[in-house]
Amino acid sequence: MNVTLHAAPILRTVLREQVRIVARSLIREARAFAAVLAIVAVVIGVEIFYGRAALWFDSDDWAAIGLVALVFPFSVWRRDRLFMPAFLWTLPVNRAQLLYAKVFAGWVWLMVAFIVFVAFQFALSLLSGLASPQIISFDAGIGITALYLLGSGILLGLRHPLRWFLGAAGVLIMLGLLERGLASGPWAFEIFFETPQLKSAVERFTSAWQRLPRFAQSLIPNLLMLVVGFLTVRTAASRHADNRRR
Amino acid sequence: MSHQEERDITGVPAVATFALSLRYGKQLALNNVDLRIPEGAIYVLAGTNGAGKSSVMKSLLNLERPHAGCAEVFGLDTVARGPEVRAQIGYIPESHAHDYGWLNCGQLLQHVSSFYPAWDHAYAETLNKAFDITLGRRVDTLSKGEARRLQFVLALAHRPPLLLLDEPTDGLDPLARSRTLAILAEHLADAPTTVMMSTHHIGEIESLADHLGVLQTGKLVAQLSRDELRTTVHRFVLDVPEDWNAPTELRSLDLRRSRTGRELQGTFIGKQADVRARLSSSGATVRDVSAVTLEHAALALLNDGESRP
Repeated sequence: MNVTLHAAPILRTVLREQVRIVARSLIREARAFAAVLAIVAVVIGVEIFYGRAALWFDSDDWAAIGLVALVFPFSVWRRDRLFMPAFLWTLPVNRAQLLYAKVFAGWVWLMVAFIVFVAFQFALSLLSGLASPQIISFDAGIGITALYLLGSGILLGLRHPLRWFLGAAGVLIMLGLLERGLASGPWAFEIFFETPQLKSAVERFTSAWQRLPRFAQSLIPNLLMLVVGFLTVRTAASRHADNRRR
Repeated sequence: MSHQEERDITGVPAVATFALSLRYGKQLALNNVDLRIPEGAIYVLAGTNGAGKSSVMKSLLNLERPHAGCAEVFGLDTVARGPEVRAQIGYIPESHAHDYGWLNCGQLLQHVSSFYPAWDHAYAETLNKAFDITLGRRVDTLSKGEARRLQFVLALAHRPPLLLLDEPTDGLDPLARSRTLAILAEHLADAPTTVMMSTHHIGEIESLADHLGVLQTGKLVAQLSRDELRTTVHRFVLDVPEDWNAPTELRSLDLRRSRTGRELQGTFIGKQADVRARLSSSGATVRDVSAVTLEHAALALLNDGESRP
């Protein structure tokens, strides 16, 4: 007996659809982003008017943007119940591929937001008449991508990612407090960091690092982070793979 | 790549599970289940709540991963060839809620259609009209019945060779139920489809179903075609002496005594001639034998499964 079997969709179709549906799911975030840009534009406009705009462009601190990239996956995936028999997993697509496609779609929109932000900042710096505005360099895009991948990997690979995020933040704070509390005596931290072998290794590394060209000093850590991000997503995807056994 | 591929599956069941077992923590949800659903069959899976009906369907979609055994759909392993298997399936889950409830019906249909190269847009439109779907309404604002009707469109519009329907009429009012089943019957007449359906309203699908499987606490206790049911489960009307007891080897399920006290009615499982002979040797006189409805048969087999150790 013959039966007519249906084909599964091709990867290009899956990618295109994920880019489209993720865009639709991020409308709320896009509106919030546009509102923030509008408020910033008004505030900076006033500053430009009074000739105090330089304050806005001399910051070298991109931690906030990095943090946004890290938590952005929570917006991309908030509709999907990843560790349950959810709608997403009923689709006729290889699950790891589906996961990569959606991570890619989120990245596309993160990069669009990033480019819009850079263009916005560039436009404002031109308007302010500043000679050398602080514009995000190309490798900032790599860093943002790396943090986004890391956030995606954590979100997709862990059943309770928020708990892990908060737990990790708690541990870091505790370590910071501990370090401050122990700063007055010869405690384990100091003893460890002041061993001659470690000190000379750190010095050798620092001097070698300083001999590198400036772009390499920025690019290498970003690329390393990118690799870590990719590996995290890959590990997370393996948890959802079709052929993963119990 | 073509949207469809002709495949010779002579002798291959549409659905087959081989000692399929599934656990939720320490609880055994499926215990060595060996389902066989022939191609083109309309298979009703009956069982009490928690018997494992939904778990079987989820295993076929690889939504739940078995801890032992395996399953095949049209000869394709559900784990190794998951995407291909899911491309053959139209699924109506037990739950009415949809993860993408923030989309409107039209957007959800468009989203799902892009994953099925065989999606028939004209047919989807026909189904939308038949099920009275308002495309502009947000999915999470739909009532249970409306959500169920939308799920029917999503499941049928790509004309899948296999339909997995988990309590498909749940949440529908009586009128909607009858309309839905009429549309389903029309769909099955048009497109060659195998159906696996779990329902507590077996009576409604009496005219459609041709196979019955009975699950009891994760075990498949019976699996019969309609013809096998006709020769295996019967309703007997008996004349019996005052202190008559049914023979222990006969599984009497729902014996009911009439007002006069001498007439008994009951359903017995077994070959009619064997049952008749055993009843006669116990002192009962068989007055009438009739076939039972699918619902009655399912109840009998369920009771039988319960009474067995």
